[in-house]
Amino acid sequence: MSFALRLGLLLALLAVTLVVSLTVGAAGLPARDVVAVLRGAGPDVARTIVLDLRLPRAVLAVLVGGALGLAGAVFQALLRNPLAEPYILGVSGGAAVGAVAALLFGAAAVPSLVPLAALAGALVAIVLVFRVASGAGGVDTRVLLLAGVVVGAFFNALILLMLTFTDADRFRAAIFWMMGSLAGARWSEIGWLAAWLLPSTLVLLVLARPFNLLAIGEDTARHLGTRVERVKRLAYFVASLLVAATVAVTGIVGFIGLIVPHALRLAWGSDHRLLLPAAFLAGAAFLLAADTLARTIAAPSELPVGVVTALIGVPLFVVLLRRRNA
Amino acid sequence: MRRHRASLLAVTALAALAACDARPEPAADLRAGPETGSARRVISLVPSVTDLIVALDASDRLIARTDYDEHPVLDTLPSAGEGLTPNVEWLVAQQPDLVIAWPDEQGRGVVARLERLGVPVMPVRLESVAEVAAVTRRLGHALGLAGRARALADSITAGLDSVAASVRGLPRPSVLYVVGVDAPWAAAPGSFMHELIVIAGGSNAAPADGPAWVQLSLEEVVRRAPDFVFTPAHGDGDAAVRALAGAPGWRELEAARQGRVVAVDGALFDRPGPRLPEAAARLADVLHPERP
Repeated sequence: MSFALRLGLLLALLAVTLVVSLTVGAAGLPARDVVAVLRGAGPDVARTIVLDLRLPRAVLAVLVGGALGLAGAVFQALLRNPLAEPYILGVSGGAAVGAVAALLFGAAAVPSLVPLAALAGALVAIVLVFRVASGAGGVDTRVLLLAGVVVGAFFNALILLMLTFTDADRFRAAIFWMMGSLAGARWSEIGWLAAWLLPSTLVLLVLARPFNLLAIGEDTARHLGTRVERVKRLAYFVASLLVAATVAVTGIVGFIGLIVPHALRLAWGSDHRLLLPAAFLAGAAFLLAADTLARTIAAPSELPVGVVTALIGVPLFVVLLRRRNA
Repeated sequence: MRRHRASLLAVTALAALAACDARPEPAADLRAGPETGSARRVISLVPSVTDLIVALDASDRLIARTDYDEHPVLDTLPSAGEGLTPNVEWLVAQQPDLVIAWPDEQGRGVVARLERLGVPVMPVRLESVAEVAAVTRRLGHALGLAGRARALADSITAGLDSVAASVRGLPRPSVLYVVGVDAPWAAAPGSFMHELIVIAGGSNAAPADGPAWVQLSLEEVVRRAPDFVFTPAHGDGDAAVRALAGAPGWRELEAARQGRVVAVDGALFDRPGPRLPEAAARLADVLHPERP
């Protein structure tokens, strides 16, 4: 099966998921109303529900899921460690420190403050981890991994410290933020997220060939003409910024960035020219499906989307893993 | 290279999808606001406000309830879930002309989202006795039942005043109202429970300089040695008392030895609504059995 065909398959899967996601929901709209709305007609309530609630949420799921899938694949390639995932280098920890601090100081009154604080926290984490890991000889990815993990642990301690001294209201708001949610999807945020995602995604996709060489070994890659340090730095910063933007908007959505790239690797091998775009498309479809379940399965209540990604993702992954080892 | 182009196309298509900004203009029929004073399709996500609406004899205006509303007249209504994190899509689909929501740190997001969609929202935080009367009047306004609401607010206030009058001049035993056993949360000044304690002729043993609900260590509980401990129970009150009065720390209290650890009906005490005078009287009966 050619690369284009496989990506086409994933794109079709994403499209089907998108259609399902727009059709189902707590409101139980008849499918014919949804179709009418998509053709520019339909009852007003159905228009509000489909166009103002379901569509932005679905688009946000596609962008965030795609970004996390892609970033996971990039971190796994960069760190050459199967446990690598988008949050492993402390980006989410930094974002959470920013968001929780903002929530505890009452920033919930100004909705855009929390994502900005999260973004600021993530940027601090990105720079801090990089400074710790970079030495005279460039960036040692093993040190980078360690630096990310310990900086993340430090941030976690900070979060717990802050939560200890807060009231029940803000405690709950902070915990909910950390569980991640797509419920607050707004076109303005989606707009700037898309503007941030598009160039980052393109840069990372272009790095596919250097990643293939890096996978063989840094020295080999260097001999074959790859500017290894530059690739590592570029991959680290661009992927981290990608993750930072998604965390700022949706909070922490676990497991996608770990499982999706691994599943694709198990199924289709490790050629990053296929793996990277496939991880974007599969991540997008997976998060969209998970969020659709999260908002329908216990309707009218909602489950945290991170719970659903783990509950579906882990068994699926185990099946793939066992089939591979059989 | 062709492979790259396919993936780039996919990504661009997604970005284009994201860029096509759908119209944020809300549906016109959802616009009629609470100022019209005749809300007919009301969803209250705040149980104590739901109680007030029922007390106003306006339960026919309610089109949904939460999992915490157990009033029999609401049994047939669909539930919006636990109320604090409602599903906005579900709410919109019920076509309410008024949603009453709790605007805490998190609820504000829900309020903002509903407002963006043109659903009229009345944010209500009920945390003091005075707010109960004020919210009752606001509700009367929104429902076009101002007279009835005034009467209800006045009767709540009068009921509390008469409890306060009945304990005037009596000594004030110290009281802790706690939720939880190992790391209990205590009602402190700023909470309506604190007001009820004072109205019922007690003095609150919880620290006054912290938040409205404060988490106390067991050492702090023992040090403060309250004369009475109240705890809300849903169902088996005796079991709640046994669990609390027998727990480490608590069982050292004089109050535990004297049988002054008392369970109160959670359904009555968890919500500052129309039954506040009843709750205050219940506390006063325990603190001052001698009162007239």
